[in-house]
Amino acid sequence: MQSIIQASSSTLISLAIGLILTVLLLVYNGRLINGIIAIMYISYVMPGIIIAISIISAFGLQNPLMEIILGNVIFNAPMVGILGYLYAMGTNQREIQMAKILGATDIQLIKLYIRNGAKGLWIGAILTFILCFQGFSLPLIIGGPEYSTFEVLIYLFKRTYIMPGPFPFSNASTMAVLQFSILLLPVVSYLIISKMPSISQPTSFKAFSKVKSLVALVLITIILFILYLPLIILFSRFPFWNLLSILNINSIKLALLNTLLFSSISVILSILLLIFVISDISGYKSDLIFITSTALTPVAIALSYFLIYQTFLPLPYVIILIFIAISLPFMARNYSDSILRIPFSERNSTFILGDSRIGATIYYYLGRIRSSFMGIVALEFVTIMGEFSAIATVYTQNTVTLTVEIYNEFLLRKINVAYAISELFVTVIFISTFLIYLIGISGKSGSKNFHTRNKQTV
Amino acid sequence: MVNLEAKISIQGISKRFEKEYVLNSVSMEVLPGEFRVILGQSGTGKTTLLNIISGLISPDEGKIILDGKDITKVPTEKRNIAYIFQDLGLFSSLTVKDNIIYGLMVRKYKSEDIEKRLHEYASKFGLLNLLNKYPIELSGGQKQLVALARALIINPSIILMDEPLSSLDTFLRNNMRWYIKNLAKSMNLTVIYVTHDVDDCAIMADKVSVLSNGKIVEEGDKGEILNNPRKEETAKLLGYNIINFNNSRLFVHPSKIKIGGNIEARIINEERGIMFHYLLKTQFGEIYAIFDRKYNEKEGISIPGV
Repeated sequence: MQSIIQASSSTLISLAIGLILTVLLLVYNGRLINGIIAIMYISYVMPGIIIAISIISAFGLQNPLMEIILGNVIFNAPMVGILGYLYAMGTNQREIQMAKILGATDIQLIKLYIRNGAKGLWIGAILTFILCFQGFSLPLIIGGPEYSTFEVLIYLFKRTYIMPGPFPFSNASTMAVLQFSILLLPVVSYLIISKMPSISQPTSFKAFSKVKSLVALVLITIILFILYLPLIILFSRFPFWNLLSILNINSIKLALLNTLLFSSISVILSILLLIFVISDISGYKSDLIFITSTALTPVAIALSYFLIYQTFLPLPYVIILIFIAISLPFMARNYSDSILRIPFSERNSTFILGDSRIGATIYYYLGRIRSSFMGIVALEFVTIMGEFSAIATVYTQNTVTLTVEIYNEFLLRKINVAYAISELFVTVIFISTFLIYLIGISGKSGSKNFHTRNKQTV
Repeated sequence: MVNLEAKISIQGISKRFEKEYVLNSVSMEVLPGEFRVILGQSGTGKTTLLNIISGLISPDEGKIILDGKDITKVPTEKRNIAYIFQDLGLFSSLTVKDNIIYGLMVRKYKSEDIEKRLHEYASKFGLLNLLNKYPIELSGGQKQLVALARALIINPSIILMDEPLSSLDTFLRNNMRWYIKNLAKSMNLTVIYVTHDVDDCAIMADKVSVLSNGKIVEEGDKGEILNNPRKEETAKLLGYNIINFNNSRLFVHPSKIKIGGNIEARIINEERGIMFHYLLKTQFGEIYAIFDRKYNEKEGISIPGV
């Protein structure tokens, strides 16, 4: 019941705020738009546990349900806004120009845009529902037993059971199957909506006056400031200049190393799998795989992998497998999305000229979409670094990661250390993604190493 | 029966999207060195047919035989076919040189052979000074030449062209028509070229296949098809008037309609270009006529054969 209450109310509020943000972004649509969207993505890549700790740092533990919903909204509303805006910008600008010529008011123009943006808003809302339904960090940390979602219940079931020994699989699996079945409904809705036609070629056209654009910018700033206030407050809780001192604590040092190690290996293996195994999957199929795999929740995946592989694989390998299983479909979906943006003729010229799928991927596609590919890798890296629910389900003392360490410190009532690790974590995320971005713009993938193929130089 | 002399034989190809036939049992044979133009209006399945020949999409039914071998299930990259798309499909992130040699690189040619062939084709197409440029830095005509060089350097068995000249201005387009025609003849290339443009067909084709609603409705030598269309679809495509007369339907080309005669005609529309163009209302229905001088309704018109 908590899963449904939290997911429904969070979805409704996120959709409302997302709609407002979509409209404001459309009205603004100025020079800073890419920067604003990048800022809005921050909450999306932020691990749930960091948002939970931020909310506690800002409001304490006063009204758990409201705080859980607030956390979900911080996480999802900007994403809904971005999706709505991107789809709305797919509106043929000639339509907007023609509407203006015919005397349409600003509200009528926005309605025209929103007609196309609606698809993005619905997709955002469905994803929000799925993500909140399988909410883990927020209900676990802020809520407590009476606010447990399915994910938390499965996790608690596993934590209270003492291994080794025959695991009473039926209880946990029943919950996992029930959760999966409920989530199939939004999954099917997502697939139906995503098959609807949309998106034409957008061109830059300023449909609204400068004054209105400026007002929209101010309003966007205010909304984002309010949404991100807990994250800002978090950074005031532990002096930033003392951050490195916590690295002297052995458990934190180990957690940081484990986090970087698991993330790097999982990302590298995911890239290899992407190139050599699934580079041939078409856009719609990868969308299908991606969305269906979101219905398989991280805790359920972690638990099933753990039960199957722990008898013959060391735990670090199992953890890496779990991370790949969780993140690969998302990566594959983003990758195929980028490939599909290459014009049909250019994309297929590689095969016409005799190249194989893998050859074309390595020697042309990756170079062609280099910047977006590095973005995908960065997102993958951050996602794995911030993974909490799966690792919390299976970790041992030697395989603790930063997110688990934050939770452990929180349970030990060392709240200041939890704040400090959260700050450290956010800093590591920013530095790592920035480094990946630098590699992306200076790397030698694709066109630059084209001549090295077969070690020939022309 | 497979014609053993045919370079490519397309046998009963059908393709449905949703429940609608885009191609319905299309068959044709193209001989070595032949320039075949497939003429058809937009949406008749021309591009789909080329995509099937190239292997980019699979047919629901039918076979493609190339050089005597069934290639229907052979993957695109193993067919040794060249395909020049409507928008050319140049690799935007590669230089002209890398675009041209891509096909040789994937075929693992030795570097000295690549260099030799690159020089040969870059010279042939006048691209030697452009090798280090990117496609975005080229003019429309130069892009066409790069696409041709890239397609031909791999010695393809057959070349498919999907209205590659449609984005060029009239002058350049006309030049390229003759250029491609001469190139095809001098290199003895087998080409399948799809277009809706009758002028493309008139200049370049050896033989013409007319595609309408997913079916080949007429096929034959260029002169025969363009001058004496036998099917209504072909006649419409070539701009003929379709006139009902004595329970039969006549195809009359606008230029064949003469001033003077006993057929009364009322002018519905009049336009002046190099010639005078009229849309006339007659007892046979609306007809389109071209005259070399201004027409007066009182003069009447005559339609040869009526």
